[in-house]
Order: sequence, then C-alpha cells, then structure tokens
Amino acid sequence: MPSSEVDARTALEAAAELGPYFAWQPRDADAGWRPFADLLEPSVVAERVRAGQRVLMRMSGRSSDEIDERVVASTVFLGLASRLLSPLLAAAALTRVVPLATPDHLWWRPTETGPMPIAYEHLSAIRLPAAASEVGRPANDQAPTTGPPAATNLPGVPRPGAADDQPTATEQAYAHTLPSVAGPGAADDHPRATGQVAATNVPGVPAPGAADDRPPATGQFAPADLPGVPRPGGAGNRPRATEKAAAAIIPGANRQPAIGNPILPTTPVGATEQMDAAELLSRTAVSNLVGPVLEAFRERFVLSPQVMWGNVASALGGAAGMIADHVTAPAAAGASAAIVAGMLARGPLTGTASLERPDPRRARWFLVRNNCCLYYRLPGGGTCGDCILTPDAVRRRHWQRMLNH
Amino acid sequence: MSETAEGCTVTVCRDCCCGNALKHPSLDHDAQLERLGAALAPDHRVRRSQCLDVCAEANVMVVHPTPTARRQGATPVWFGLVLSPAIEQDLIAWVRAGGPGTADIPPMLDLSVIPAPGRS
Repeated sequence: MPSSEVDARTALEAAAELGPYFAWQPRDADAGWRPFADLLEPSVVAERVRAGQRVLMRMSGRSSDEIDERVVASTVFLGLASRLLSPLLAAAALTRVVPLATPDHLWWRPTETGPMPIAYEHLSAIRLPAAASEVGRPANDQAPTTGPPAATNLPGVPRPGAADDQPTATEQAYAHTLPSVAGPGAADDHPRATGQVAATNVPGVPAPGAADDRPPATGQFAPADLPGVPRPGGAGNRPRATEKAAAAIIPGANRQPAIGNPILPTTPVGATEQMDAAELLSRTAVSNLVGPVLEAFRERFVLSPQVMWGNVASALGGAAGMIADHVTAPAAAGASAAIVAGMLARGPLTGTASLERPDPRRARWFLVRNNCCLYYRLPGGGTCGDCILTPDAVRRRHWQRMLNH
Repeated sequence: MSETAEGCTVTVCRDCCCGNALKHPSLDHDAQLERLGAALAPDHRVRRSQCLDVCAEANVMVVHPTPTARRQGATPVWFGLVLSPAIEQDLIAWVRAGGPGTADIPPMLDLSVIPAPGRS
C-alpha cells in the first residue's frame, strides 16, 4: 500500500495529548504569532538566550557573569530543538502519520518560561503504509507493568535528567524553562567507537548497511547534501545556513500540498513511499527547522557543532523516553525508539549519540550522547543522564529509577 | 560495565582540536588513545568524547572517580595539554593508584590539571 498525503492536524492532535511539550496548535487569530523564520534572526536568537539567562539568574540568585551565555545558548537551543521535534516524533510514533514541517507553515510566540507556543497552518503529512518496516513491534515487549505512566514527568516537567541525585535550585528552575533537557541517558557496557549507533538494539531497525540505510533510489537527496545541512565534522566548510537556503530545500512543499511530492517537487511521484518516518523527519524537520536554527545559534554564540547536534540527539532521546513512559502501547515506545535510531544514523546526527536498552524485557530505550550540552558549567548544574561526562554507575542508577517509576 | 564498576573512567576528548594531527602534529593521537586503553583496561574504562569545548587545552582528558570515591565526594579531574608520553604515563599511574579522591596527584601531573570548566 502506498503512502499517501494527508493533513497533519489529526496526528498532531494525538501528539498533543502527551502534554504541552508535545503540542503544536492550529494557528489562531492571536496577533502575537511570529513567523518561524524570525527564529533565525541573530537579534531574536540573542533575545531568546537573554530570556533564558534572566530565568536562570532569577532562580539561582546568580549574576549574569556567573551564567555563561554560551552555556545558556546551548541549553536554550536544546529546548527549542525539543519543541520542534517532539510533536513530530510523537505524531509519527503514535499514528504513523509524519507531518511535513516547513518553515512557512509554522509560527511561534515568545515566552519567558514554559514550553514555547508553536502554531501551524495548512501542514501536510505523509501517512505511511501500515506494514511497517521501520517501526519496531517486538513480540516480546510488554507494556510497563509498574504502575501508571509517569505522568508527573511530563506536564510540569522534565527535570533535566540530572544524573546527580541532587537537583539544585538552578537545575529545578532550569527544568521548567528548558524542558527538553530531560533526555535521560544510558550507558554503554563497553566502550564503543564514537558514532556507533546501537540501531541493532531497536526492533525493526536494520543494522547499518542494511536496506534501510541505502540512499533513496534517486540517490540525490541525502540530507547531508542539502544546503544548510552540515556534514558531520564538516563544520568549517559548509555554507552558512540562511533562511533562504532553508526555504529552498523544499520549495514546492507549500505550493502544491495536494499534488506531486511534498518533499521535493521534482521527485518522481512515489519516491516518498520508499522513505520511512526517520528519513522523512530528517529531510523535513531536521533539515528545514532544526538545522537552520542550530546554525543561527552557532553563528551568534560560537558553539561546537557536536555540542549542538548532540543537543538535537538529546532532544530526540528525551522525547522518545517520554513517549515510552506515557503511552501504554509498547508499540509506540518501540516505534519512537526506532525512528530516533534511524534519525541518529543520518546526516549531521551521525555519531552524536546511541540508544541503549538496559532491560530487554522493557520497551524503554535511553539515549547516550557522545558529547555534552555544557549545562554542568552553570553554578549548581550537574551533568544530564545522557551526558558523556556522566559516570556509568550513575547512569545505571538513573535508568533504574526511570524503569522503576 | 561490571569489570569497571569499581574503576575510574577516563574520558578522552577527540574532535576538532583534541586528537587533531593538524593542530598537534608531534603526537600520534590514535596511538595515545590505544596506549591509554591498553594500560587501563579492564579495571578502568577509557571512552572518547566529541568536543568538550575546552579547545585551547587540547588534548583534554577527564578522569572520573570510582563510584566509591564519588560517593565520598570525589569529583572528576580535568587535564589539559596531554601531549607527551611522560604526562600520559603519570596520568595512567595515578589512575591505577585509584584516581580522584583516592590517590594524591603527583606534583608533576598536577601541572597538567586544568580547572573543570564552569568551576574555575
């Protein structure tokens, strides 16, 4: 059965039921909505970071000198990446409908605390065929039996998955502003080469080199080749991601939502049928939304691409974990983990993190970054559960707590 | 992890500057990483990290205390400019002796300690 194009609304509404961090809303008449492209403006980026810094100063009682703006920028970006990706990941995992996020159809509203409101209008989506190739539905997976979904983790929210057992005031405060730091982490049993994605641990995800990793049949749409999409490790050489470049990636997506291919207007009809959710999200949300915002933050605050792409990975891992903890159907947990694993194997996310499944009886995956968001540099800040700097023993305890919840 | 449950972990930065032969051509960075692994495994774990954002101090390494030492208050110790076999050997010897919170840092190795970022 071929994939087909539908409206994204129903899928996004299903995602929004997971809580405010998974919610995008239909655009209303509120005059406060600003175009997505504003988020790429250096002045707006700087203001977002100042807002984050103000919150941290207020909650920690520290001065601006003590709240390093680069660290704030990294973590504010992590929060933004989470807001841009979590609803889409949840929509895809829960409904098999993948919204095709395009900058021209999205708006946001500034907020001092809490999840940044994001609105959409006329957003199309791809309904994937029911016979899943990328969505894992492990036969032996069971829904977590230890109590209700961790509702307390979500709405009010995610503490930054702090690995240290003592969240500080700063950390707590931070959790309310920057929800996505929630990325719970995981530890390796063995050191592994940086960049190895533990895709084999995820049901339904082919090992590297298997069919799923092939370039698409047309061979010309590798995300890393798209303008504005950095290659891993290629920080210095790539073109600056501009709003224009971002918009140019899928120029036809907005004009002809009902006809042809929404990914690329010149793509032969039917090409999207070969794409799974991970690829669709990589080519739309990652390439068109997150990548340009990341570059805007990087240009203003001079941050390592590994730190920043690691933040994107962390946002995805945190969202997948929250989906797993909130949905009773184990298939959704497996599906979200499989999609994240697929995204981690592509483009600039390659090598930034891996997924671990500490308990084979539980459909719960934890992300482990090969990098760090720098949050620990703030006064009272600890390392997150998914951080490279978190000791294994601490990470294991963190997992155990999450699994026992 | 069981074999390193009571060992230290050494996080070795390897990215844009650390481990970069263009920045520090005098050193075989891959060999350095292999030496560390060979000298410390299996009692201690050596892992590599992407950029830790202390580029001026490349090569940067972080020695994390054993779980026991950590529970007693020991914190990770950061090292910068680990570019000579002598420093490397001192670091290995110190980790073998127990690392942070357990063994005193030898005076020569102490010269390579850098402030943990954000804690300076």
